[in-house]
Amino acid sequence: MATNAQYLASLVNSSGNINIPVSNGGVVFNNTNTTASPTSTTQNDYETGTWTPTDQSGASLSFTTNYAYYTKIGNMVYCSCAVTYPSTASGAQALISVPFSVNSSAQTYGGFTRYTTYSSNIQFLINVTPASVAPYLLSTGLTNANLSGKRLDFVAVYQASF
Amino acid sequence: MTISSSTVIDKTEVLQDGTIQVRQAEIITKDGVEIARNFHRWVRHPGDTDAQSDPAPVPAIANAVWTSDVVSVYQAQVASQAKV
Repeated sequence: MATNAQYLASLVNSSGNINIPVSNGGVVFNNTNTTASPTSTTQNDYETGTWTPTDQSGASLSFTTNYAYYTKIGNMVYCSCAVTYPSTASGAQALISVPFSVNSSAQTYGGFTRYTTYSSNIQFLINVTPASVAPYLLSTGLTNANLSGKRLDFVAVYQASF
Repeated sequence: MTISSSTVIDKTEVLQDGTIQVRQAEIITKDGVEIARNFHRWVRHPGDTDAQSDPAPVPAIANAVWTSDVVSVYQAQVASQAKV
């Protein structure tokens, strides 16, 4: 039977990276008594990349995207993007997709505007279905028509559903 | 020394409501050995016709998962949530 040191060494590949061999396995921090996995003390995911923000309002709009980046650490998603709305008269609530599904019991996250050609600073509410951000001015949602031809650069933070 | 790049859909995740999360990997190799992998993601919700233009296996997954019931339930969820 392998010793702990031998087992740990077997997880290191030829590039020097530590690989978790079991799907959804992770690092369990020793700050609770539970040994179940995954738990709220398990760090089981890290990923970074780009994504394609798409219109989720139902109006089938095509955005011009300057950039869109994300980093997911555990179940926390940090994403930022710069999109420009096309010319539109759609009165539907504006909704922009996010890279991962949204935890339905953790809707108290949101986002803020880094830069916009809209006349006011916009905040972003996290929407569960469809997984998206919704631009708001205080308690009022913005429609696609409100954002017609406008550029939105924003940062959003939320909990993913897994 | 040969540097080459290829893209592949390396992960698809089908959620309970039928949403498909797609991850595409750009794989950079040097003399046949992978030296870097960059990810790009997008999401296809039930009924999204753009999924048919995605690389394999996304269209096949969409066709298999998105029954008329799945699409109608999803659209009802959207209608109940997305409000101005």
